[in-house]
Amino acid sequence: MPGPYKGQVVRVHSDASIDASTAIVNRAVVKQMLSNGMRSLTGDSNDHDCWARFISPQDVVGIKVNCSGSPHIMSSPELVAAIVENLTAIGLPSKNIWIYERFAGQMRSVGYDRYVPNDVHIWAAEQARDSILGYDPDTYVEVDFFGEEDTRSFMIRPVANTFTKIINVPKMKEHQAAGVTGCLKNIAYGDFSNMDRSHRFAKTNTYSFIGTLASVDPIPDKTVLNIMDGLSGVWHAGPFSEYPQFRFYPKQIMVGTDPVAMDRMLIDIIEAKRKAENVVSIFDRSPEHIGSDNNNPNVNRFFREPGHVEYASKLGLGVYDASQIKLKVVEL
Amino acid sequence: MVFLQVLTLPILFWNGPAGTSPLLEQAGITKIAVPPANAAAWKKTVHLAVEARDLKDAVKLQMPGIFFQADQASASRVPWIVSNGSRLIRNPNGMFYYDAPGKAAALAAAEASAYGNPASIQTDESGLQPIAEMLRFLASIPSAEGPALADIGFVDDGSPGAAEVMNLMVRDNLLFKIVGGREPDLKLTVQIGSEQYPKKELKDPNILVHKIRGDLTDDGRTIRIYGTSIVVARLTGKPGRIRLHLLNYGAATGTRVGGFRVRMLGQYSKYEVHSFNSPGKQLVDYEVESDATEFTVPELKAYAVIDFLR
Repeated sequence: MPGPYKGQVVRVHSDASIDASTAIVNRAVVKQMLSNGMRSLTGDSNDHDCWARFISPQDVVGIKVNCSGSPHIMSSPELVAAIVENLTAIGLPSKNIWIYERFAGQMRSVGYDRYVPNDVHIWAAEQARDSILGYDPDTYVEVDFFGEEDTRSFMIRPVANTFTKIINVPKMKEHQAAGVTGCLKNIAYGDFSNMDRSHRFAKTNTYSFIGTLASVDPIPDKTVLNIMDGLSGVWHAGPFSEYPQFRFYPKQIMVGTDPVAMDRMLIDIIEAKRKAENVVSIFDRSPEHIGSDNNNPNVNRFFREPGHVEYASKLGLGVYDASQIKLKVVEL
Repeated sequence: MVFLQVLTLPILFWNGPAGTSPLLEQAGITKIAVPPANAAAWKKTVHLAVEARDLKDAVKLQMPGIFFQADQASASRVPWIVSNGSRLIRNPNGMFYYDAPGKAAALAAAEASAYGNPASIQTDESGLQPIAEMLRFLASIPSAEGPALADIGFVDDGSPGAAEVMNLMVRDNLLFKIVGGREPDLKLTVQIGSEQYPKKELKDPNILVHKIRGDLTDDGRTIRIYGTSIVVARLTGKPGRIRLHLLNYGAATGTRVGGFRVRMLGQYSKYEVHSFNSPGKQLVDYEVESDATEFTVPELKAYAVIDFLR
């Protein structure tokens, strides 16, 4: 990261990608959206060439999905299946593909196994909460935020030791602590243990911690593609999706190698939606808007830290300045 | 030769009449303590060793365990640990008893044993099987001589405030022992009322313990635990040969700990695990570094004892 397409983002939109009334995804349309996105990003004229730029048949590929809003809002299995089809089409054995997340319970509720070949690994770091066996004991970030006793966050074991490439598939969501949860948060908080300790009461340390984690080797080198699922999303009370009224349907995906540029675009999308709903910005820091009533879109549990995206740019992870970002929009 | 640890084992204290002996025998209990008034009747039972024990002067301990403070508006999932460790340290020769029904009986027995106290454990019918299993396990652990290892010397003034500081230190795995004054082999001496730790800081014992932790430094701590917030450690022995006790306080409510990392100062190349209800479990990702030994405990149901040799 930020990879060969620094400062570039491709947005592919299709009204036919998802039925907003039923949340049923049109698999064929999504596959076409992915194809168009990859071709637009790379300039290649066929899918094989696009994917071969990033992945070789010898790789072991981890697909980092986001299931924290499951079973309603998660990296769509239709999109993940399309990624897997493209990987196998360039000769990558399906046994070399791992779809992974931190928590098994969240993953199970999605059912990725029904969409991909049997020998694709569907893997979670924690079968039960509070076990570090799925994490690499030698790769960790040690920091004390609030005087907590457990000061280490360990990296997911296959991220450190097994995968040669990672494809990051975040979901388009607002986040109560981070402001937004897109590419950076999915690859940072989603790849380490013991994360919820970074928030306490109204204070969250996501501003610097997300970029710091995303910078830990080998994540920047291995993460070669970011494919953000914006077929559906969450504009308040994320990253979960307990409230149907806060789901929305941007009907798009974003493709790129620069996670900062993509998250910068995500901020605009979430802000635009919140503005349309006539509620406070994710940049709002008014103490009177802090509270536990998640049902009220003007109330939030934390002082959000959407500045984490700009902070990550200062760590060299990508381009934050919107005027420097080249956005290609493809309508299908 | 293996010496079994028998002197400091806790014991089941049973208030029921002698007619309930089949219940105990079915659970696998072989030895009990009973009120003196019941002793004569109980001593007629064939299969049980019976000891008369009067609890009127014994101090009741809390039922060990964890609870989540759902009314605290915090994102932290760290539960409150109810440990009696500080009371057992404060009064090592004290006569204690627990009233611990169900699975808590096993944890109570483990806790008392870890701190070397032959406490009496009262339980209900549902606690008989768990405590019987735990007592068998405790009896199977080879004895190991050695005092508690500590980083901190704590001058106990006997006050409730000092008690709470010690309680928090136990829960946070800050190893301490009670001292009369500064001891040169300890890294830090804490005396409430001293210039370094004025009495006014007792107003918030939690902050005071954070200060103690900061003064000791995390790098200076003999033991650190990562990946769980409900395991309390105790170390005994002497340099070169030490015993690590690990207590899972979630065990009282059936919470298994699935895997956590331990960092222990010192180089230890050999170990032997004795783990309750997890026979054969070995440590994983075992690494001996220049100044410390690190390993992962793959499972902790209630209690484990791990012996280390340099």
